[in-house]
Amino acid sequence: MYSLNLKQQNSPMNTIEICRHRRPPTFSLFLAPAAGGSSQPHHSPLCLSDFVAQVEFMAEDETVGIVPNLHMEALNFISGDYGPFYPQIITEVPLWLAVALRKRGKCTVRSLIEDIRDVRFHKVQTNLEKFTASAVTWKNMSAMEVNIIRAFSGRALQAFYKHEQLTPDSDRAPDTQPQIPSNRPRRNLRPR
Amino acid sequence: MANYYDIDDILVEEEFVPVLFNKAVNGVRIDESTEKGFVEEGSKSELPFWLARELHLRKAVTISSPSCFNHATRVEIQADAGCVDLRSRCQYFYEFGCKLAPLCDKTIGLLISHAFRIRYKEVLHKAHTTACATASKILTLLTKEETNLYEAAQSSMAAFRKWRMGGPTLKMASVLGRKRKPDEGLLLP
Repeated sequence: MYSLNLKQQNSPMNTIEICRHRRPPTFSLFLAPAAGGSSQPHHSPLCLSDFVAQVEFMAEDETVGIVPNLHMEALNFISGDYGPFYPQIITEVPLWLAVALRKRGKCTVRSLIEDIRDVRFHKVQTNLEKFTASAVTWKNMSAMEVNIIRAFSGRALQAFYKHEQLTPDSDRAPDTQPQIPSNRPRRNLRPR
Repeated sequence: MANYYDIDDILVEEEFVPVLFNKAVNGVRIDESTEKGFVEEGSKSELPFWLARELHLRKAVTISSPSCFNHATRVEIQADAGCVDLRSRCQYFYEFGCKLAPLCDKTIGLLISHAFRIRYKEVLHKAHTTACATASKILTLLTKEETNLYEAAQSSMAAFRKWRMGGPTLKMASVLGRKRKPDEGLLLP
């Protein structure tokens, strides 16, 4: 869709070609209306894979911060102007442009994903800490987070359930446990 | 008979339990030291669990708590379950306890569920964070069941890391390398 050829007069070494070649299926409806006799594949009703491609395409329009390592004039696109770029100065650009620049080694992309993942996974762990066979509550977990704890939590729940079967009244009347003193405050284990 | 070929289940039932004979049994020699060819009523012995259970069902023996569920262990578990070396006491502490509880002492059920609840948290934190190199220290304390749990978590984490490294890698900007104060805000360099 976007294609530009950009040359800087004073530094011919810095010739960059950037093109955004992937085209989402729905866009082709508007850009290339099926004329009579056209052999172009016609995407009529949206199928699931169209959505995936579309969502991915839309996601690429999200802006991210990059740290360029080259000096470059501002880029003027239909969607807006980005830049100018100075080395080590953080600039906001759409993700597809960031990826293109990154591929050519012209910038580093600032990524918060790792931080977010760490924080979220810590929350998942504190949640896991709480569960017993009788009460399990998880909300708003991504598929990948579920995938990480799937094997572990499955086994743990099975064990909890098995032990719970042996002591059917232990949860309802914890004070009557003959062997284990539960009135003593339990030490909260610090995650290590 | 669902567990007939399960090696873990077989090993659990191999554990010895102390028994007290309620009846005199003829034609039995428990170990080589007994000269007589029969067992007197009221004699004590140690039998593997699978044999003791069958005899118990026939009211021939009374099972008492084995050493891994004795008073000393209970006190240790009450003090800090996370640090007790259950592996050396019984490789299959929980499974054994589950099988034993209905036959000899109902409080074993409470003990193992308490122990598991505490030790589970230890496993949870260590399994998802610790690198493989430092893992061996914890693994020496864990029972077989806990080790399985630990390894399940480790392999999921390893698979996740592999997926993350395999995809398009973004180089981390140098400003992200250093530690931030929490109130400084995420977007400030």
